[in-house]
Amino acid sequence: MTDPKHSQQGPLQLVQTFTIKGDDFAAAGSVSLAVKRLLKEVGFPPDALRRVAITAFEAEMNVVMYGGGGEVELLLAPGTARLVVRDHGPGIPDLDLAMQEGWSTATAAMREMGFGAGMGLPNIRRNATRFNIDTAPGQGTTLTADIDI
Amino acid sequence: MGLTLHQIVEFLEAEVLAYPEGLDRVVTHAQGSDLMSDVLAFSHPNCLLITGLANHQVIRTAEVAGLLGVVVVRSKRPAEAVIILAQECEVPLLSTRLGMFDACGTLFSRGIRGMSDLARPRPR
Amino acid sequence: MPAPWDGAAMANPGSELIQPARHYSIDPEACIGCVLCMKACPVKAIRVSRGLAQIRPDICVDCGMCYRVCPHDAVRVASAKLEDALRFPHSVAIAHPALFSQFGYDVTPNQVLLALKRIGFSDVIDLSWVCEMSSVAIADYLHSHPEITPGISASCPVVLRLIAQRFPSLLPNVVPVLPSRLLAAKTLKTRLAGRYGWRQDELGVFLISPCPAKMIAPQDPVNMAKPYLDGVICFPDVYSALFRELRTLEEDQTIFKSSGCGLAWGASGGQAEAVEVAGYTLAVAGFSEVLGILEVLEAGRLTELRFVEARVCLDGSLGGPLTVENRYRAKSVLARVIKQHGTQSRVDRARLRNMIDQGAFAWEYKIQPMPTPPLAEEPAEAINRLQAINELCERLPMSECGVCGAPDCATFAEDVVLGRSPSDRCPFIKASKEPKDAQAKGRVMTVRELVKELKLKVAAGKTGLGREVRGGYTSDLLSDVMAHAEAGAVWVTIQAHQNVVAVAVLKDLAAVILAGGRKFEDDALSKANQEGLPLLTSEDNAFTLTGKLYGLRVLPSK
Repeated sequence: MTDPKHSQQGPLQLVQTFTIKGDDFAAAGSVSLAVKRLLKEVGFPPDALRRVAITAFEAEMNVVMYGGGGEVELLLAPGTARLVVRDHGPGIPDLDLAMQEGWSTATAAMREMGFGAGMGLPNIRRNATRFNIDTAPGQGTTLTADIDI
Repeated sequence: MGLTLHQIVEFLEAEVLAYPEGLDRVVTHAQGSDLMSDVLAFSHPNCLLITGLANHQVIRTAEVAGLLGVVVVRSKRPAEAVIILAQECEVPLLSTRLGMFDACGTLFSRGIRGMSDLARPRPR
Repeated sequence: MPAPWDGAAMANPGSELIQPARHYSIDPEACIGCVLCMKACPVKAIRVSRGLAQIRPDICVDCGMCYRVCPHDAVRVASAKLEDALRFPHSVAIAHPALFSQFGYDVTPNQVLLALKRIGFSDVIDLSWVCEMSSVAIADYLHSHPEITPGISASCPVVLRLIAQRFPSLLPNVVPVLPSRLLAAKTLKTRLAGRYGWRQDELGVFLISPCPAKMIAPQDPVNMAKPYLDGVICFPDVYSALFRELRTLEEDQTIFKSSGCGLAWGASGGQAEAVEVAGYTLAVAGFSEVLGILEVLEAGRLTELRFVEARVCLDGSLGGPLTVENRYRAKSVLARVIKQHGTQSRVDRARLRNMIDQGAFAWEYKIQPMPTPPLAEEPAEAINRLQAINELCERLPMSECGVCGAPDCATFAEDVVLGRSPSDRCPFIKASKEPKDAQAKGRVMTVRELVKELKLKVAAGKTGLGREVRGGYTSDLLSDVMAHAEAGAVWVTIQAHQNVVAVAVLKDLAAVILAGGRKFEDDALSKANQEGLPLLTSEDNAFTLTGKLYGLRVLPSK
């Protein structure tokens, strides 16, 4: 993930910014659905659409559950969608651990609601074509994920 | 971190009335008040005072509390005696045509912080 | 013998199977060009121009919402009438189970079926019987296709169209069991006609239906000479004839033999109940609810579901647009009838197994996707158009007033960018985006919004929270405030006594914020309550509070 503005298929344009409210489980998922609808308008094919939707959803849930709220930027180039998901939360202390399937720091309340199975980051790894996580304790987390058609 | 009094003179479009020698001082915090008893109660050195008053009390308070300087707002021009006092006490004295609201707002937007931030323990 | 669901028939290429939606149209004589239908249309298919509403046939999904809301009777329904049926030498009525809910608690399904015969039909078919059979066929399909999670019911024609147009990736999830009405019609035309000794062209098969869209037969290929269903007669067109007949009906026959299983298909949840499958089933009714579920399914979630019954009409078919009875009463009536007949299915399972194996329930043709075209074929151009739409939206008021003839500003922007509408249709459009300096001139907030933004506490004067804030003023010297503060400003101070209230009221200030975690004196509070002047408190000191207020750019400060 070298050049932040250019993907392989041409320059990325910022088309929309969304806000995620921390701890708001009622609204959780609404940003990823809005992203999906937008990409459909632009003509993204169904398989790529589903990969974007899953990536966006998992990233959004992480921001709601752990990040205390944040923003999502959607950038587009022909053939690629880029999601930049930023929060100002506590940061991820051990990224390797967080990437392990089943590892979760979810609270009991979150598990009651059905979340916190520890599949969020692994799911993103499976569905995004490329991704990068920038994080440090006390400095928030920024996830950049590219989904190629 | 912080601004020098030189920079503050520029941002507030202020006139330097007394003790220009002190303009190298670096300011990180400020207090905006017209009640000197209040200033004394919450004072801390390394702080700039912004006030609408332009009398002797202000200079005495600044000296006692060890404040870095005084900015008088709303183009209030202190009496000559006050300016001389400030020079003697080595208190930089500035006058700006801005009101208290804009002066505080401008400095806040440039990173200067309020007094109680110093007093409170840092959040975990 | 080939497996029933994977037969050669399914490999047939589909043709343009779903005709453009054409069951609702605007009557130009009656339409006055108001915006009610345009606003109500859930797929934004309607535009109003030159005093006339127009439905875009490529977007319309036949849901009938426009028909429901039009107060001028200007939405015409395309459906057959009783006389059309009776013109045939032989006519058969297929009675939708919702019909039994329309005549109150004292009329039985058997009576309704008999009444249909009396008003002129040669024979009548109880559709709920076929529905019972279809439940088994659907379960069988799901059982032999465990990878389909979930299967989506094909019986609501609007849902089918929604999926083909907007969620084509979900087409493989649609359970390819013939909707019961089509199975009944097909059986009548292909087998029973001969049995009765009737020529096929002499036989008219009509569905008595709560909705005209049920005419849509996605399995009828365009090149087929004659469709299975000759027409759909909606409830209002037979109601009075049936009502009169029921009053003097002699119940000398028993033709109704179904159980509650099939009857329940008339309401939302009935199918999901009746389909016996291992795993979770879900029933969704209502347009936005169905859209919501389809969105979520398309996003790859809810894979633990095995079957979804989706209907765009609230409460299911008995809540359809062309019903007569109030849908709550209809629900209650149907529930009672179901109870009376029990939920033990009465169909002959062995015969049913035979039919399934013969492929009697299978679709003959696959449904082709008819996706709504993207903003442009070329992705780079599509992105450009998206940006153009965003930019145009910044020059629009976003008040969704409808004056431009589009349902909302975002749709209008899309119409303009795609060349469907001139931009001057909007009387409020700005020539260009407001320059940054103009934005820096600030925004108008109410005291209430300020309280929220700065996390203030309201100590008194709640009634004044709606006041507009114009600027700020920081001072602890009352004489100074009297001399220089401007009306509408928010006053930041550490003075807590009642004179502050007097000055604030005199100067018509928006509110007073007491800084530094201080508390107002009681006199001040009661005076402020009397005057409706908001007194607010903040933990922040005056400098910080002023800084934050300043940063909000609440209009000019001096």
